[in-house]
Amino acid sequence: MDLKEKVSILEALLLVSTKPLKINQVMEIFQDGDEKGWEEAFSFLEKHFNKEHNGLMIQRVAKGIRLTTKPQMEEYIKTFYQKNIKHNFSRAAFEVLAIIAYNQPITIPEINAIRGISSGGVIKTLLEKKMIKITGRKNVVGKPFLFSTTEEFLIRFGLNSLKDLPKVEEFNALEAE
Amino acid sequence: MASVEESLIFSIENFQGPLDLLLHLIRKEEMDIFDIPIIKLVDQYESYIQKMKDLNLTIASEYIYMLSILLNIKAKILIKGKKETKEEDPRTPLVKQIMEYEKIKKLADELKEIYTIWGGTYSREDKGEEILFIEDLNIYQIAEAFNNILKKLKLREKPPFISVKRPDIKEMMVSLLNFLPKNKKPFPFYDYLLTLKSSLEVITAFLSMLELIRLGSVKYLIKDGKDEIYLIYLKELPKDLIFEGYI
Repeated sequence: MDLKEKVSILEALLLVSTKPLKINQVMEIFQDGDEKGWEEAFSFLEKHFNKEHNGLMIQRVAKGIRLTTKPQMEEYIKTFYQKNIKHNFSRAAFEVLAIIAYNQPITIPEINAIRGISSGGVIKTLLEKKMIKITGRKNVVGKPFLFSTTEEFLIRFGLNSLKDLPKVEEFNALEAE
Repeated sequence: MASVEESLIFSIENFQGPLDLLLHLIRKEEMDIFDIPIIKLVDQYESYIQKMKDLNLTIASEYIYMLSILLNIKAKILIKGKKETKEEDPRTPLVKQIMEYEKIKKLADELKEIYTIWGGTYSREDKGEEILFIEDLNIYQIAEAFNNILKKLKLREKPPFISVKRPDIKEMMVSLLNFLPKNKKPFPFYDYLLTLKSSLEVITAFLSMLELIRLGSVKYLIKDGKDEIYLIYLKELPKDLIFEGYI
């Protein structure tokens, strides 16, 4: 299978895939073990799409590749649908999400301790929107649930992995200035 | 004065809890976070709470709790006076908490900014037509799905049914397995529950389902986004089943 073929297959798979497409997923289908070749095909598509005049882009997200509309297209999509289809999270939701993202897995009492106020309602919203999930129970009195962020969280925030979260140290440096 | 009052209402509603309020006061008065003038801070905090009371706002208990912490620190400092002691500064734990909160607040702003950009990108959506495995399915998702089913069942009005016989897991397993289509098509568990009469039976049915899954007689799927449990018939029950240790 040459590069051209790989590129066209990937393009088709990217269109139908509802989750970020992963290279090892593709390799599993074709059983050819040509990781380098597929990676090359991905890069080719990336360059092909990410031109200024394209409304679509290839995004590396959640350790996979996703074909998506460009952020600049949001306004037009909104007008097309005649409504806001993006969920607007509250300030509290972003705070809780930040706490979970940087301290996962973490329990509700621990989250409340950091915020100094109860966060139950926000947790429910974040669970409903599939930004977080229960990943276990902490072995302390009451065995509270442990929460972690989801793949959907990475996708919605355009992150390839949790390592791509804004660094905490950068803020400390800012304060020192 | 009216405008001051108005801005106060506005800002009180915007505080994300007592730590946020404290942080706001510290920043507004340009206090040194490492050497907080605690008496001034307590006074300001108290006046805010008082204003909230005057405006008939419900004050979350966390705000009152924080006030007690502040008063406790204030008392300790007043007792200690200017004497140099080896004891820890009573303000330290609170300062640490405020700083930790400030860090989170900044990170939350950062996340919000990222979301403003990437939250508005769209790709092919899962329309939920097909039944999909939820990835990394765990016990909590089954529990949640069952919880949703229970909620749905409650909506149906039914006279209370007093069952004479206690439902038996083994019998229920056989009946559930017979109920499933043999063509290996996913079948909604909910439809089976509709045939049952009491909540005790529903619970027994759930346990039977888990047991059937464990024995490999059925496979379960959870519809993504809907949290509905589907069952697929795989094989008959093993003949030599032993049910020791069950209820």
